[in-house]
Amino acid sequence: MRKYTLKPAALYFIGGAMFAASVAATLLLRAYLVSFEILMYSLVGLFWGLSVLFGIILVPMYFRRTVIYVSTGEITVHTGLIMLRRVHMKMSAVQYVTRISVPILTLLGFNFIIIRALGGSIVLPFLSAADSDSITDILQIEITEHRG
Amino acid sequence: MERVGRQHPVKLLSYTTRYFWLLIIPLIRSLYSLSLEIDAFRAWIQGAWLDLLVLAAIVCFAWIRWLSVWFSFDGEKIVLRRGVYLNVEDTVYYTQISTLSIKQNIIYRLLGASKVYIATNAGNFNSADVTVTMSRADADRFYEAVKGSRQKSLNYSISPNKLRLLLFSLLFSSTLSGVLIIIALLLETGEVFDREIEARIFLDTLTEAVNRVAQYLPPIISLIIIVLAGGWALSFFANLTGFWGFILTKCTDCLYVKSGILTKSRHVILRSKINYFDLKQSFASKVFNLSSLHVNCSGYGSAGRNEMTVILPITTRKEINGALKEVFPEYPRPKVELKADPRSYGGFYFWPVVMAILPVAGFIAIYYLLPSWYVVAYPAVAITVIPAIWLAMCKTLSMFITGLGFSGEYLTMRYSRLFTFHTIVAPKDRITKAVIRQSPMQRMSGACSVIIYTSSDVKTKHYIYGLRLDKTLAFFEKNGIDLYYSEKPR
Repeated sequence: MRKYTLKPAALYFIGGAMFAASVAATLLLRAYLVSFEILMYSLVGLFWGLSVLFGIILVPMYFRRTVIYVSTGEITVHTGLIMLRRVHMKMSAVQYVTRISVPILTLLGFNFIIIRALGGSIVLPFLSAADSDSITDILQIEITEHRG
Repeated sequence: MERVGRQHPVKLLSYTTRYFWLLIIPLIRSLYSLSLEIDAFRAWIQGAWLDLLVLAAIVCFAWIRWLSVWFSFDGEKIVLRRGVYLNVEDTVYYTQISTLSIKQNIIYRLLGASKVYIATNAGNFNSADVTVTMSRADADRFYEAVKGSRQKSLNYSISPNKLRLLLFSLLFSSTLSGVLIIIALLLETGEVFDREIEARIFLDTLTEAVNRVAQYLPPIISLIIIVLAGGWALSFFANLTGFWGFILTKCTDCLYVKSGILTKSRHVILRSKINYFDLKQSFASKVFNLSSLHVNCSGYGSAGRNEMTVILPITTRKEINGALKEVFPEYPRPKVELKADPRSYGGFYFWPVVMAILPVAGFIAIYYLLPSWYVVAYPAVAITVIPAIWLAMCKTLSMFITGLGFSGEYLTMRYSRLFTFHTIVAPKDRITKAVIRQSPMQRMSGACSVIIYTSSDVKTKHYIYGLRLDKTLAFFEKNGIDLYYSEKPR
């Protein structure tokens, strides 16, 4: 059994992007809504509130809680924010696998694997390129070799 | 011997657009009102030449589409070729067909046509992979060809009596499904006729009915009663006519199902492609120990609207056990080992409480904000609270039956979803995904919910609520599903 966690670089990138988006939104609101002070402060507050909620609390919690276990027979994912979930899929149920990599950001952990079975799927998010290769290899060996 | 053919000409109608009907009705009406003089006809041509041209173009395009589709079948496979600009060829081998359905509604029967639905496990959506409209003779030949590819051994046949079918229709008819049938009918006719005309006819009929009942009851109550009663009656009628003459025949590798008086249906289900069987019960049938037997198999229950996955309409427990032994001899009898934990019983009432609180809160708001609406709101809240009470009763019963069990290579799941109780037995290899979920409340009490996804062409989830987490994890591990419970979520 191999254990994989999500790549922290993706978390830092998301946090940074949210901070940057909030700064940009603040500047834009300051420029265009200066005559509507109450609305401007409300929207600025909303942007920063969402940034703090997602960038500092929810997304880090999601990254910390998500652990992927892959063995030759099964894939198990522990994940969740409010609802904790332990998800299990037998390798024998896998029909096909989709691998998604975001160009440039692939080094920051923006690699996703979607494992599809008949009637369900599992998404393995924010993997490092090496982990993504390793999981894909295990899946390929299982699908092509073990099933004959 | 190979048979090559085109679709039945009735298919031309569905290839025309709804504008065809919008144009042809006024044209025929104006032609009908003409006097029998050549000048009048000339004047009509001068006025309607553009409409006639558009009509000819629509018919021509429909005809080209009809010409571009043809099928061929032999004792091994069916091939469907189609496409005006791009040729697409679908080949389906009979060994891969999970469900073959052949349906004839009244119009198709009069015109000698049949609609053939072919489903395999390869489809992504809840519909047949290949749908083709054949002449009745071709459909019969194709049915025989598929039948000929299956093993020939009749070993069980059952046909429920008419009284039982009546009971089945009574218990499984609901206002919701009746309303869904109306919506489907409106959408279907809307494809052909003008939506405004169709909406006006529907609203006029509804208004007329409401006005009649309103002589005795307040209009809002009349409307609610008519929608509830009308929807239920329509669903009842659809169920009764759909399952009249129901016959299930089991052979070594197949199930054959025939039913219907207005719309006649025939199905061939490959047994090895059945994902699970489901004993469904409503609250009333649970109390009287009656149930109906359903199966989940790609394509079965998805050929057209108001389709059900039933293979044995309502019957007694004794007969169900007999039928299960005959139809699914390899499946064990449903057995539950892991039951809902008494500490989770409160959670079963979450949705009934939500369903009850919302109308009551609405009623309180109306009482204080719009006091003049009190007369309307009072009966309305009473009607909307009834489903919540009914659901609470179902959930109370559900607390004692919910559970999971493994018997060899088969998983038994017992749970209720809304007002229906399910007892499902699925082979272990049909479990696609198992999820153990804990809400914050469940984390405090050490409980969890199990969600089992089973093989299906649509996402099929089974929720089993209120189990003990530690027992569930140990139960799954013992049965070869390791959820790494020693590794606690961080």
